[in-house]
Amino acid sequence: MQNSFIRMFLNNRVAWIYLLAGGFVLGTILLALFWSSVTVPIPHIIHIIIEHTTGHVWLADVPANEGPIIWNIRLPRVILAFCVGASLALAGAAFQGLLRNPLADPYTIGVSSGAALGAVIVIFFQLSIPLLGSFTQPIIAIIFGFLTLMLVFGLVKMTSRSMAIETIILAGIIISSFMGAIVSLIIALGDQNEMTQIIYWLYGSVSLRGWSHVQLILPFMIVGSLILLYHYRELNALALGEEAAEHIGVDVRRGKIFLLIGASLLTGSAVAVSGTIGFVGLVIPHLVRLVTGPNHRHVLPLSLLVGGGFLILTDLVSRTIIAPKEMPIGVITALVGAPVFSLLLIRNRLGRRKTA
Amino acid sequence: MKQLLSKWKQMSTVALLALVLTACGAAEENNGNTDNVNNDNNANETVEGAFPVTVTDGVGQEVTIDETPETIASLLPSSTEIVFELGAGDRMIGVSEYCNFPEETADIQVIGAQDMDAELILSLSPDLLLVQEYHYQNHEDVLNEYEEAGIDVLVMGSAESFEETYDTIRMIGEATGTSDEAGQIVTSMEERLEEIREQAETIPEEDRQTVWVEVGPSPDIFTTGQDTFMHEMLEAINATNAAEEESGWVQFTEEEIVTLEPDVVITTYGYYIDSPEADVLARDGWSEVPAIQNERVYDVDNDTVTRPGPRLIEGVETLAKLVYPDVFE
Repeated sequence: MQNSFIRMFLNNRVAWIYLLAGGFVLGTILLALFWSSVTVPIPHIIHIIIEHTTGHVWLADVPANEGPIIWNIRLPRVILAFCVGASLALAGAAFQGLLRNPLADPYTIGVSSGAALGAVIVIFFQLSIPLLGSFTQPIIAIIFGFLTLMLVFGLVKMTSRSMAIETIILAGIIISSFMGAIVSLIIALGDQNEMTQIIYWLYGSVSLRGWSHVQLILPFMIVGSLILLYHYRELNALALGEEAAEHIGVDVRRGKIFLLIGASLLTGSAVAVSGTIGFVGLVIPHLVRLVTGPNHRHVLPLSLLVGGGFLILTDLVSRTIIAPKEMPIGVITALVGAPVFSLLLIRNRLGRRKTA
Repeated sequence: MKQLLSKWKQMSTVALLALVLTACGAAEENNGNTDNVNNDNNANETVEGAFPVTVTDGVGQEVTIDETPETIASLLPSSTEIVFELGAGDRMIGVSEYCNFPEETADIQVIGAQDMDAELILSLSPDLLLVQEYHYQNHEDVLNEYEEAGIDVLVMGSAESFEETYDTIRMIGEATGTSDEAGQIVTSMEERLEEIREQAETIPEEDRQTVWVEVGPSPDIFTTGQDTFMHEMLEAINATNAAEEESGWVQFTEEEIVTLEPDVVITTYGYYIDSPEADVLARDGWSEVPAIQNERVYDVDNDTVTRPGPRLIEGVETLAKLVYPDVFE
């Protein structure tokens, strides 16, 4: 009896957390839609969205220029911010569980740098693949993210048979530095125009992207998220150590590969549409774990929600704080992320001392 | 990764510097195309009020402007200066962050720069929006959005010569219904430049000065080679650009510069560094350079020598007086 009571209580607690996270996402979406440098009355905003989604018109006096402001500029931006934040945080949670290292995030494993290199190459050589058109950059970025992953795997395979965690991190860092060096080289070779473009891009931003980028990231985000959410058991098993995981009958090797592919999909597409935005993948999963505990069944979906909401919020700050100028979103995530992460580390240490 | 980021930040300082210095590009335009002022209907009318008008912009797009634009916004300082020079400044309702001339721009709503505030631009809904190539390359979707909202968008190519600048002035003149003024401005610029050329031709070969131009301060000294305004200006005043072997904006090491033995040093970064002249004069190892020995180091207003607008001519005149004070006064 006692036991089931506790279980019910726990379930309730988890339900509350999900409800809160969902509320957070909804709240940030509404806030970001209603509040910006240009004031559009809330009824107008609601009208515009209803008109575009259902075709139903109920307010006749909405100024013509408010339609594109809300529907083509602000809404896709909010959605894109959610997708990027969700993808990065979910990928970060997976990498941290996978590598059992609190410092792991999409950057550690080299996927972000690879994707960044791909995107920078497109800018530098002004590439435009006929059928892809303006999608050349994101798609090349995803491909480069994958190639980097393969390169990391190749390096790991050549150095150890067991795909050891330390080797993966080490290889990730090495490849990442190498990719970064090529990016620096390209910047040094480029003329001023390209330099400006590349640097603006590297700062990271979800501004001025529109629906086309939302359409681009969505399929990758959905597939990547499903892969990761499906394989949460492997992550939980890995927490026990690889040998123990094998003992309880989890195919760790296969799971790892799926998890890495899923996380790379998420990272590659996020970097491709938004540039390099750091700290989301690092901090959000830690925050989530603080509340839910280590079970990846909850850490993964909650990281997705909280990460998405968080990036909507940071983007809102980035476009309003010094409007009409924009603060690079990567600057804000780092300004918020670094202190939070430090606090988490200190807290962690103090907590450990208490229990010891 | 973190190391790389800091590298990027270093590089970005240079890039942002370059960005501020050039303060955006401007238009390039084919004369032949701009003159198609709707020949069939209005052949006998004056150019003034000859709307609708079709202009080909800096990226080759044909833009048809139906009637005189009542409100204009510009995302680059050179276009803003041109609009004001054309006498259409009172129609400006939005400028870029870097627009600092003429003074009236200080009171106009800022609508962004490289990063534009799309919501704000749409809410202002200017009749005509002047943007730069950067926006076209990176945010074509957003520009299409503007056009759908009824804003005529003109993309300025990157002008790197007086001819291209004239074309830009003519194009903006046509688009804003001030073709006559544009023609007058161009003619006046041409005449003033020709005057300088003629005077400069009297300078004997042995008096010809070698000029070293600095657009970025030490330690990353950038200069301007061929295909830049500074080079064209130096040629016009019969001076030698010390960096004439190079093209565009290039970086030189101090050792290379000292070897070039320039007679005059011109800096253009005085607007963000105190006393650039003193900095140059005090450089270690430069003591044998003629310009340093004769203390011939001058700072000129960057905007007048890099911005493809009407004030370029002031830049040439200033340079002429600084390099050959005896000839031009």
